[in-house]
Amino acid sequence: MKPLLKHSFWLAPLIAFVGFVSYFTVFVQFPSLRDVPWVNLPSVILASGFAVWGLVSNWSMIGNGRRILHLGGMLFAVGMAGLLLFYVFFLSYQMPGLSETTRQLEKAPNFTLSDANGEMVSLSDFRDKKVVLSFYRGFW
Amino acid sequence: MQTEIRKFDDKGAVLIGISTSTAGEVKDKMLPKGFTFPLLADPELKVIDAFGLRHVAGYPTGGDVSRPAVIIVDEKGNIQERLLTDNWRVRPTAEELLSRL
Repeated sequence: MKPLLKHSFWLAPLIAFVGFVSYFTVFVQFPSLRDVPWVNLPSVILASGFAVWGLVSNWSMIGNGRRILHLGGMLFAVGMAGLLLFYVFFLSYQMPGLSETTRQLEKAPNFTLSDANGEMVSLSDFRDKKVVLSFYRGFW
Repeated sequence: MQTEIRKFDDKGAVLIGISTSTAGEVKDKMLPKGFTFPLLADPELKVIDAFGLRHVAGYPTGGDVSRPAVIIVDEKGNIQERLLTDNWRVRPTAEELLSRL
């Protein structure tokens, strides 16, 4: 048995966990790795494969206790991969259709809102300039 | 976006962020990240609604948020571009925005 495969029961779920969590904590900050998770999707999928491979190749040589460890680790790794795939390919597309207002608006309605320091900022403060209004969901 | 702010200046454009976060939340959570362009607080979604961008129950905890969108307003107050998305995980990059100014 290859020595690395002996450790797949904890190594694979660890890689999958890091692969999952690091998308939200690190990689979302880089647009190219956020839009398509080039780092995170391969890590969780490879970790799942590693876990399954480890489970299959160890199965006949280990006792029931170890089997449970391997099975648990495999389920965890596959679960992490499933969650990330679900988030990337399903959950993030859950949006309502575009509103008529957004589609038909021709003139930007003026507004006044407070910035972080409590100063009021109006769209009309920037006459004669182009204004890029970036609406965003929150802190991420 | 923050690192490209100078290029917006060079094009004579102003970048403004708007979200449902209150001014206090923006101050606590966004300013420490080094944002220098105005991040405006629209906790009652007044402006978000004026642009038709409310995403009902769009936040994981169930609250309403703005759908991600970039609206470019020209010098006369007309809407020049709308960059919208059907996937809230993905937003236009600074380069994309700059190319449309």
